Amino acid sequence: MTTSDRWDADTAVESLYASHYRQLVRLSVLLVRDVETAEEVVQDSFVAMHGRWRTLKEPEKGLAYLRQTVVNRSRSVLRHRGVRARYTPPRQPDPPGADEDVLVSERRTAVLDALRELPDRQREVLALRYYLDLSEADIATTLGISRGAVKSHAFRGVAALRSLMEDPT
Amino acid sequence: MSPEDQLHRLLDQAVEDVEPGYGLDRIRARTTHRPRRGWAWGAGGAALAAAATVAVVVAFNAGSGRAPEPGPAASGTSGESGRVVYFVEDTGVGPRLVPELHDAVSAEATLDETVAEAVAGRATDPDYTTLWPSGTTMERAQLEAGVLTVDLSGAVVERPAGMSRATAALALQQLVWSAQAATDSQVPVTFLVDGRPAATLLGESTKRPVKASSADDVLAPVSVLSPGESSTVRSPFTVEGTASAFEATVQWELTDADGGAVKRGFATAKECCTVSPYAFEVTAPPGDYTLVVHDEDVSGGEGNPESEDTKRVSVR
Repeated sequence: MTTSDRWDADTAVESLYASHYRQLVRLSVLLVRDVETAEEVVQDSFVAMHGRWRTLKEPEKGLAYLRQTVVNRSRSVLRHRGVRARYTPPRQPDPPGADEDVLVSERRTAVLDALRELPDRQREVLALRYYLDLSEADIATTLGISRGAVKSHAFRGVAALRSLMEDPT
Repeated sequence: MSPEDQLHRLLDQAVEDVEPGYGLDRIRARTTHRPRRGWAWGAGGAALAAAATVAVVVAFNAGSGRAPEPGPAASGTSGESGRVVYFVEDTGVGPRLVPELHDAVSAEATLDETVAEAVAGRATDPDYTTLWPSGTTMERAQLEAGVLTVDLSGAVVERPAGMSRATAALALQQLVWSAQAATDSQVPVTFLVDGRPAATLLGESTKRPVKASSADDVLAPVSVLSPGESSTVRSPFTVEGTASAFEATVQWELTDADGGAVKRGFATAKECCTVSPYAFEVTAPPGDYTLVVHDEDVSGGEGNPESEDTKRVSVR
């Protein structure tokens, strides 16, 4: 990322949008499953970041704030799923393609389904660790929990995901 | 492939076909038209008559435990309805604490989550922030044998350059109020740094447990607890919050994307000149609005500048 520490809020939104919007939407999809909801969550997070840019000031802090906000809002969307479902139409499954695509698509669905079964913290730690490649320290800061807690959520999350993937019931 | 790499691959593949639409315009539309209050009290009798103020609900969801009465414990009992986390907002009288309602978590996690969110400034309202330096983490919070402990990590012992003593004291209060709210107690907070007793925190003495300061000293002159930021409501909806306003009167406007007031009115808090709850009802057609609740400077500029709290709401 370029180090322009004199960005104004609008520039920060544009630059971080260009560099990270897609990745943040994908992160949120891992957490909430639904793409439309994920886009809403990420857009809300950008708006929130814009609002508090004067306290963030630096691109790195802006990005850290975005990550944190995306994770938190994804979690609260899940808690309000019942309510949200009225406003967010369920997404149609992708049209099936060649056989190989179907296989990939099935596995993809299986991963997302399995993630949904995990407790919030485990799902979040796995997504931050294995999708965003964040360090334990960064995950701890993002989630506001201790490094020890990150370790134990990761450990339990990996084990749970594995058994869910092997035994899809 | 190592198990770690397999997990990377699995998660990458799970979302690799997700191609979000073009969202920048939608973000920009919400950041460039920052709705502003375009209406002053007394702008016209007709406007006042059109105000949608309904009965002022004095008793504030009695028994729900959600209403911030003076004192954090009374304001933030946790349960089905959620938890109260205290953040900081710039007000007409300087930075002050504001409560925000967060989703309930399991009873065991309530104290930890609440204090961690306060430290990290994980507020939904973009105007709300934390006073704790970035990099501060909350390691552990517990209430055991009548001792309420908050263990922090990071550069938190000295007062950072540029932070006033008043601000440092308010930062401590942010956590005291949050921790007491989460535990429904009035136990003073014992602060630790990296598991050890801390003589100072942000330069403030913490040799003895820190008590909650009075609501009038630390809470914002006006704050809105419900509806929360970016929430979706059905009309009519009830707005609840606390205020310590002149003659106990707060004013409100509901503005549209262009900043024009669609509805406005006023409400009376339970008591004058001390922090007390207010509530009013708003009726509005479906749409996206900004709700502004503010106090009024009636002294002709001699008193404190106005304080306000804003929430974006969608009426469905």
